[in-house]
Amino acid sequence: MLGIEKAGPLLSGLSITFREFLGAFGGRTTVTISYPEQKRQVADRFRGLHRLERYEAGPYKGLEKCIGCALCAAACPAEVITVVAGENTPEERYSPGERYAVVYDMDMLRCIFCGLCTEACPTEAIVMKHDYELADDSRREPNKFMYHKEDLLDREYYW
Amino acid sequence: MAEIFTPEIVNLLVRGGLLIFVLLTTFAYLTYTERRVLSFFQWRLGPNRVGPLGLLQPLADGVKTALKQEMVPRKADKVLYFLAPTLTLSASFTTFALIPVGERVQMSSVPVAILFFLGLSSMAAYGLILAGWSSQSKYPFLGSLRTCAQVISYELALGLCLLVPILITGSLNINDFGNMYRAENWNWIYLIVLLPTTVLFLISSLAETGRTPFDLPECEAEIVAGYHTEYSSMKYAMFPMGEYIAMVAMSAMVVHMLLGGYHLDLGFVDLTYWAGDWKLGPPESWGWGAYGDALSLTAHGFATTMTFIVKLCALIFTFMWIRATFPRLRYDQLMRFGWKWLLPATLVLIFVTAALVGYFGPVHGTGADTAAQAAMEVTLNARH
Repeated sequence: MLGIEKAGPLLSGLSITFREFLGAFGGRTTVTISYPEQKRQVADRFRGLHRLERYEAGPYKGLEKCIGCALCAAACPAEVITVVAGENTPEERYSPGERYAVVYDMDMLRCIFCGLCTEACPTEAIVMKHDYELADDSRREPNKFMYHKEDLLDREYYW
Repeated sequence: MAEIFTPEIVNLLVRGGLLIFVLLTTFAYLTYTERRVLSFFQWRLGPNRVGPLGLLQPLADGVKTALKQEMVPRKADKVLYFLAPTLTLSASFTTFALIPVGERVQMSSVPVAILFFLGLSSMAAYGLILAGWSSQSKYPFLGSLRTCAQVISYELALGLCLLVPILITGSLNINDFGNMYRAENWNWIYLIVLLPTTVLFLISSLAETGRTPFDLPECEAEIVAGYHTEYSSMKYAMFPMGEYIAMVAMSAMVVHMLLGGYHLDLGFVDLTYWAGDWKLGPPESWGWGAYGDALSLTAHGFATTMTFIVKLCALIFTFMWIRATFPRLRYDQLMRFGWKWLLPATLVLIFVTAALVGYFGPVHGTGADTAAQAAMEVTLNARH
């Protein structure tokens, strides 16, 4: 009658929202995750900050997996990675092969976290971990977004 | 000097300052409350970081807004550009001077308060129109045209809704609306018209203050932020400030129209009369004389004010509840609803009211003389 019957759905809508409002005081869990205190577990295949791996067992235990081939730098679409290779000597052995990475720099401001470097790596030396809190406070000198080999090698990771 | 600062003037200044302070604080905490209440509706937490329970959030927001860079469009009409937010804000503030918040707690009891109220709400619309016009930019202009059409359309229904209690009480004084239920010849049959009128008033006040589901003035997908797109910093903040205070004023009108104003009178017992007439204010021993009286408030006035605030909060919650529930209307729906449904409905209600008043007689009672008396003495607190 005169369109008043259209108020019915509106009122039932109001009752639904009001029930949800009362639920807020009934110990309902919110969808909000209070971020810095609570962190969400990321997916296994999440691509976060990189790490340079070492052999954890076997005859090469303790040596770097990276052999300085620079295939990661070649695969990188954003030109993030700089690799300068050097020769291993019997006295100073870093990796099992002939060569190792003297310099391994990553400019994380350029990185798009595509994961192509990890796919290109023949020895699985570079992998992506789950760290994603990469904010820092300087990109002039010292550029804190330029991750060097020692930053990536024995880094403590949150996850 | 002594002649200028008479007790009456001091009283007015203190009341004015207090009112502005209270309204600004109300605005600040309304933004917090609204965000928090909406988040409870939506399974979220809302702002809870600044201070305990996030209670200092308005302070942080205020500092942030005040420190923002102020940008004025080069081609803007400077005078109107500066005038527009001031006009909106001052209109909303002035509205509150008319509204009784407690028994004899009121800036000024104007005999024609309703007319003044409607006039001021039109003034606020001028602010919105001028804001869009003076910005010299497309989206604010479109937004202000839209706002202007909306506000004018719904103001008709708003004014006509107010005609119903005016017919019933035969008075234009807001005090008489709240006192309606306490009148000797009050008839419960008037609720038949008062209830639907209040609902319609609430709907049109939603449109008048530009709140969901009628928040087309700031329909961000279509017209950026509407009329205040080109405003920044504190001048921007003055628009939401004016709107929130207008919302509180509209809720206050509903409290007076339907909920018995500042009284907590259950018919057999008036719960605010326990407070009595003793004075809250500087004690006699301080020797402030008439000034002390001017700065004091009766306990009864305080109790009625608290009653009023509780009722007001319930209505403001309703506004937030509606915002959490309904999506925004389309513009043609808004216009169709306003002109083809709301306006005829209020007209029908006025006819029914007129018939009822013709049959049962208007509600006087506490009526005309007390209102006139209150209008004569412009005092917050009776000087007992």
